[in-house]
Amino acid sequence: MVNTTPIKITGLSKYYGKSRGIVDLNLEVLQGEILGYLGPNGAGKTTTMRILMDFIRASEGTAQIFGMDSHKDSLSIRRNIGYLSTSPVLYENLTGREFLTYCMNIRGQGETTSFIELAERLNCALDKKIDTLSHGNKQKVAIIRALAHKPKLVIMDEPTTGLDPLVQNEFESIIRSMAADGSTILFSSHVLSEVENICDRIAIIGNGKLITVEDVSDLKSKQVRIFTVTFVENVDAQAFGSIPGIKTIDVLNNQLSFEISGPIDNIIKAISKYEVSDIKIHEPDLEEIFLSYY
Amino acid sequence: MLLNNVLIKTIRDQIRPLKWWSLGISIYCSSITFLYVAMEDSIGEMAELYPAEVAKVFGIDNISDIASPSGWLNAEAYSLMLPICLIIFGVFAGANSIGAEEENRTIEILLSEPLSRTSLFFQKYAVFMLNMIIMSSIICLSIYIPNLIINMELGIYGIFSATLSVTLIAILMGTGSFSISAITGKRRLSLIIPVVVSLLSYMSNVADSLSDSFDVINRLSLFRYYDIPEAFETGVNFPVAAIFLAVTFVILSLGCLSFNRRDLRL
Repeated sequence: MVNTTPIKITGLSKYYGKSRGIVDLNLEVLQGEILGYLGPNGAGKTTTMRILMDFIRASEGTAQIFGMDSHKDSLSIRRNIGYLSTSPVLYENLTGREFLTYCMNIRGQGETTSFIELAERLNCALDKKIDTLSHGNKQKVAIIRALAHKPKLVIMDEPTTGLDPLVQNEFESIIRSMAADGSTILFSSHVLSEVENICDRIAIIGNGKLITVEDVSDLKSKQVRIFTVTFVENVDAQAFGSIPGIKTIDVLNNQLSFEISGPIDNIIKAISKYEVSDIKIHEPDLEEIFLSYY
Repeated sequence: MLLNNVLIKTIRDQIRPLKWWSLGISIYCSSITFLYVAMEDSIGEMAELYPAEVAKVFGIDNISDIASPSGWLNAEAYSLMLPICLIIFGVFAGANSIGAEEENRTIEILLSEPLSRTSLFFQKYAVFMLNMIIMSSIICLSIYIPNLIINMELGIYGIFSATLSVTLIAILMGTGSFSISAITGKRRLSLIIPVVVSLLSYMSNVADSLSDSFDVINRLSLFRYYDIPEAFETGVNFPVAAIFLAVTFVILSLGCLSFNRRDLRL
C-alpha cells in the first residue's frame, strides 16, 4: 500500500458511444496533497472520478490507485477510499446514524466514534430521518460517510454544495488536517475561492482534455497583474513601454495603468524614479485564471 | 433491525410490500378454498353451462373436472389468478432489486464501499428468492389449512406440487426481470419484458389448446409445461422443475456476468 503516487492516470480516455468523456488524460496526484480538479460542466471531471471508483470503465488507458489497477483491484482499493459524488443520494427512510452505521457495517467497522466526532464538528443531526433533512444537512451526512473511516485517499465531487460558510470552513479544516496526516485529497469544485484556500495544486480540464496542472502559487504568479500608479506629476508612458512583460498601458493625467506578467522588479525600479502618491496592484483570483483558459 | 449488510437492509425495505402482498394472497386463497363448500353442489351444473373454449382461454383444459377439489382450485386459483399475482410479484421484486438501487443512484453509495458487484448481486437475489419462498409458503398454507377445516381431502404434497409449479414460473420471470435490470440498469425495461413474455407465453398456450397449428410455437411457452391437475395427482414433475431451474440459473449467470462488466447508469 506504500506508494508515493496514490493516483496515477495514464492515457485515460472514455467515450460514451460517439460522444467524448475524457481524452488521453495524464495526471498524478501525490501523497498528502490536496488537488483541486477544475473545469466547466461537462469537461470530464465526474467521468474521471467515476473511472477511478470503477463505476464506469475506461475506453483506453489506465488509472492506478496506490499502484493497483482501478478496475481489476477495485475492491481492495475501495477499502482505502472515501468517495463523495456530486449531489449524493442517500437512503431517505433511515436516520443519519442508521445510514452511517449501515455504510460502516458494509466496511466491517460498525458505529465508530469517528463519525460521531465528524458529526459534532459539522453540526450534523444524526437522529433525524434523512428525508426530513435540508439539502445542506444531507450533504453533511454524505461528507461524514466519505470521511468516517479515515481513508488514505478521498475523492469528492463538489463536496461543499449546499453547505453554509461556517460549515464550509470546518470542512476545509477537516480536509487540511487529513492531508497533514498523510491522506491524499482529490476534489472538484466550482467554488474557486475554496480551491484557492485549501489546494496545493490544481488541475484544469476542458473538453475532456487536461489543460494544465500547477501549484496554485505558480499559476497565480504567471498570471497578469494590473498596476494602477498615481504619480505626483504627469509622466511619459513611453518610459514604461519598453519594460519586459508590460502590456496595455493607459495614461490618464498623472495616473498610469498597465498589465504585467512575470517578474515585477524592473517596473518597481522604473516607478521609483518618480514621486508616487498611490499604487494599487490587482492580483488575479483563481476565477479569473480559470476563465482565462476558456 | 440492525443493518449489518445489504441483505438485511433489503429485507427490511421489502417487509412492508411483502406484508400486503401476503395478506392479499392469503385472503384470496383461503376464500376460494372455503368457497368450495358453498359451491360444491352447484359446480357441476355451472360447469355444464360453461363453454369449453372459454374455459380453455382461462387455462382450464377440462371443465368437467371443476367439481373436484383439485379441479376447483385449478379453475379458481392456479389456472390464472395465482400465476398472474405471483408473476407480477416476482417481476416487481426482481426489478426493484438492483434496478431500483441504480435508478435511485443509491448504488453509488454501495459500490463506493468495499462491496463487490457479485456480492451485491447475490445478496439482492437472495432476498428475491426469500420473498418468493415466503409467498409460496403462504399460498400453500392458505389453501391447506382451510382444506383441513372443510375436509376437502387434498394432501399437502399435492398443494405443494401445484404451488411449486406456479412458483417456478414466477421465479423464472422474476429472475428475468432481476437480470435484465442488472444487465441494462433500466428498471422499466426489466418490468416490461418479463410481463410481455409471460403474456405471450400464456396466449400461445391458450391458442395451442384451441388449435393444433400452434403446437410448434407453443413448445417455447412456459405454460405448456404448467400442468396443475397433474401436479395434484402425481406430485412434482422433477424433469420440468429441473429445466425451469436450469434456465433460471442461466439467466441469473448472464445477469451477474453482465453486471460485473458494464458501466453503471448514474
